[in-house]
Amino acid sequence: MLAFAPGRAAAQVGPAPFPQPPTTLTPPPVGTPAPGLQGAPEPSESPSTPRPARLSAFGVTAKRVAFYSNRYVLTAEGAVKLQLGDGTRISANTFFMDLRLNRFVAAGDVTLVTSSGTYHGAAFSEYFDFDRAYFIPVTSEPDRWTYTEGQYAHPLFGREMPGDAFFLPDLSGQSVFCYSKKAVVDPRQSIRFTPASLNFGLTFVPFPTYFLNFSSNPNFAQNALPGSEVDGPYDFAGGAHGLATAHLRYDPADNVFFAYEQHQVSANHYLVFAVSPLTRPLKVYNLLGFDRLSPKVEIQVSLQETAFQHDFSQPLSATAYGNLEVTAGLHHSYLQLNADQYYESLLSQPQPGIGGLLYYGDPSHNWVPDHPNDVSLSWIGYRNPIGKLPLYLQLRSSIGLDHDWLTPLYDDLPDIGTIVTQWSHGAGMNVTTQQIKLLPDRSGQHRDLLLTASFDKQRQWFSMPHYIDTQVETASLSRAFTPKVNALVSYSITNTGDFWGSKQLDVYPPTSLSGMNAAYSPFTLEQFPGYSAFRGFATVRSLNEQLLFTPTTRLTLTFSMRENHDFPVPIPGLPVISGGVTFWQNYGFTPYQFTGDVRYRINNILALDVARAYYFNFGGYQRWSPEFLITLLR
Amino acid sequence: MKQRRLLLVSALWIASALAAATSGLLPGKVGLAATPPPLTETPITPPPLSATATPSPSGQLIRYTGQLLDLRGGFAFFTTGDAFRLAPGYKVVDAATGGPPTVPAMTRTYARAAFDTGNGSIVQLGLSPKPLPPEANYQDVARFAVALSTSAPNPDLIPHGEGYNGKPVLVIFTVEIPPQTPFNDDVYLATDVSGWSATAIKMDRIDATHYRVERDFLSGTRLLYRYTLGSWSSAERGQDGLEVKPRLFLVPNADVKSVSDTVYHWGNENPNAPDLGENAPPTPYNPIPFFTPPRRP
Repeated sequence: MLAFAPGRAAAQVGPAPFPQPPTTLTPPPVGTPAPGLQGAPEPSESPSTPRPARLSAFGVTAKRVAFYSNRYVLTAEGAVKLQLGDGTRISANTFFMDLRLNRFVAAGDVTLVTSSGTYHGAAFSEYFDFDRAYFIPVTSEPDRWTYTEGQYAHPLFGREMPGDAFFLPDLSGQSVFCYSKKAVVDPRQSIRFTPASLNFGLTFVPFPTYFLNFSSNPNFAQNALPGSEVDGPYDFAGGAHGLATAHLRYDPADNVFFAYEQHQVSANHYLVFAVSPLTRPLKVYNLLGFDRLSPKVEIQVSLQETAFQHDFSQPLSATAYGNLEVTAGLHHSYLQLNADQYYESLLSQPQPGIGGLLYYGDPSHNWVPDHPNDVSLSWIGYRNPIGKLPLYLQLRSSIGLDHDWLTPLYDDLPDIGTIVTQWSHGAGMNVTTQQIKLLPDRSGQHRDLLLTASFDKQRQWFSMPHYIDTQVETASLSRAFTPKVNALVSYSITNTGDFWGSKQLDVYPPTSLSGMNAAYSPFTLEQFPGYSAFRGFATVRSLNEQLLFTPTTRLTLTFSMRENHDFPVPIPGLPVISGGVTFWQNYGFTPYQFTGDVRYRINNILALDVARAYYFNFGGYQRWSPEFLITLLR
Repeated sequence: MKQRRLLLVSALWIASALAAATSGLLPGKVGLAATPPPLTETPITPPPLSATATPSPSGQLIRYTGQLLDLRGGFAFFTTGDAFRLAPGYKVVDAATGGPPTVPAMTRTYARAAFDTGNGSIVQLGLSPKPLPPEANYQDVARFAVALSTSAPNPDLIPHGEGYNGKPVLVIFTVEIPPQTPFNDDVYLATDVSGWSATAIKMDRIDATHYRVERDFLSGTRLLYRYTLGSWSSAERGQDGLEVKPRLFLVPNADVKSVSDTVYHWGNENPNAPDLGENAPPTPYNPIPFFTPPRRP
């Protein structure tokens, strides 16, 4: 944090340590965070002890309250009145609060009404994080008073004050996000504006209220909404642990629609519920939950229901998915339980309809009572160095169960029959090298040629007499040619094999995918009879080359080329839209892909990323990716 | 027609969002507190002091610039927290022209104060709505500040130390990722100052297991951050598989600062089935293209 002189703006995001006493007007005096100062906030943790009332939420009313979102400051002008949490009242001409530094200044014709008396002065400043207030009273002559811990009856007279205690920033040229008449500020948490006039770029739109959450708790960022092309959130209610948001969204499938999301969070838990779209029949309900039960055990739940229903009437279809994950930290390893439940229909069996089909409404909403589920328990070790070698070793193992009574895992296998339940257990290892300097740069400019390699092998045995091996080998060479140019070449081989011994051809019969059953491109209908040679063994060979050029910290250009030689060969697919992005849904990796990516940082908040890929006429029709991928990063 | 109208609405919506976003308006999309606005770039030549702004016989005139908190009771209060006595008959003028003031002498107004060193009072205030370039040092006028109480030391304040000077610092974040991460995955830095957007800062792959990004931050900036693969469900996990607390970084005074971190696991990792990447070709986990006979595990 800085102590600021007039004419310089507060430019810090950080705690509000005490600066040095004023030494000069320009350049600004400097301040240093004092080790062990009380009130320095811990990351993402709620205060372990309740805040005193005087440091809790307070109200601001004025002729004009303004919030500058790119500076994270709140100002109030004209007939400013503050009411602090302990009942202390302050009136002034102007008010300024830096929400990141968590302190405010009320200045100009100040009247301070406390439990111990009424005082007049020029300015009052409150540092919430340190529970200090500074006041410039005017009695017979001006003075300097410091209040500690809200002891208004016993000011510390004449104490030196932080050099920027009464700093007021120059906000000319800054854009206002929200105008209001009244704001309730919960320090380091939120502001509620009543009413609120919000800047939508082209105009200000009035709302009865607006709730702004700026808590450093990342759990507020957990997102339960499905993707959309455009999303306009409006936070209309909330508190230190809750946030209610209405969303106006757009995507090509549903056009413009509304959605709703609700957060309940603390430092150790979150519960996020969302429904989207609210105003279209095909609705997705999501619930995400997380709780840290103890420092070493946490539980995570994810539930999703997709329902076709007009408004909130009886759904014509309803499918659901649930996932439970429990993680327990052990000594140099951890355990993770993972369970999935799939419900193809949550509805009761309907009466048979046309042709004896089971459906709701019309046959497009067919009723399928399938309920696949699986559960696994995994043990994962830490990544440990192997002696003094430049290698790391990580081990893992698991046991699991798959079950599906309606759609068997294996149907009518010779000598085996139909299998609806299957147990498995597995073990795996990963060996990774450290960065090895293959050709050290003697000039000391860190332009070494670096080698990194990894080997990953896993075998999974099943109660059915088969096992699956997965093996991934990767080696890469990289080098920085200049501080701005970086090159990378990587080659990897992935082998997967499903070993059934004498029953291999029963499970992967030669004829199952040939002739009329041959795999084919859904776009061109071109057949890929080579899949009839697939016996459960696949190989992927990828060569990746990348050139990274960063001429400035704002601009990054990345060019990458990937070549794949795989078995079975990839099959070109359809263009599909997901999350507002159109891409080719191929089966397997395209043999050749060139990607160019340009990223430009517009300002401290936004970066623009533009990328496009070229597929070298894959399938006879896939040249460029269907569209530029333009992403606004923030 | 309807589609065209929708397209127009969408375009307007996107334009609004972009306009708002690029001007840093969107809530929750918090950037770093903006770079301090530069001082007035064109140096202002102070106008001559008016004829009445003459020092007492024993004094001289010195001028310094600041910002007003208040004018009351015969005192001018500056944002340094100091109160200075106003000389009887002191003049208020426009700081740029020396003519009549164009802004009122009120809170937030910038001022150039002419001090009579003979009695320490202000004989002229030149007002400006914009910050004024510095003139005299604070020490030259600090002795004229008026306070009833004797100045007392403040144990809260740091007596020594360099502190943070707020200058831009090039911070280089380098992260080592789990070796099982698919080659084409993007790695991002999510920070509290960007509203914890999971895609706030995209990083660049520099070798098989390392990503890097360079950003300018002001020294003293306090940053909480986490690495993600672009969503919160894929946020980093600790070596013990548990969620990690956000990492804390305080930007020091330096020209360049490197930060090296290691991510051991991602939240969306499945330890039982190696992640072979999107569109993985036929495997026992994904054996049949497009129109599928009975599935296998």
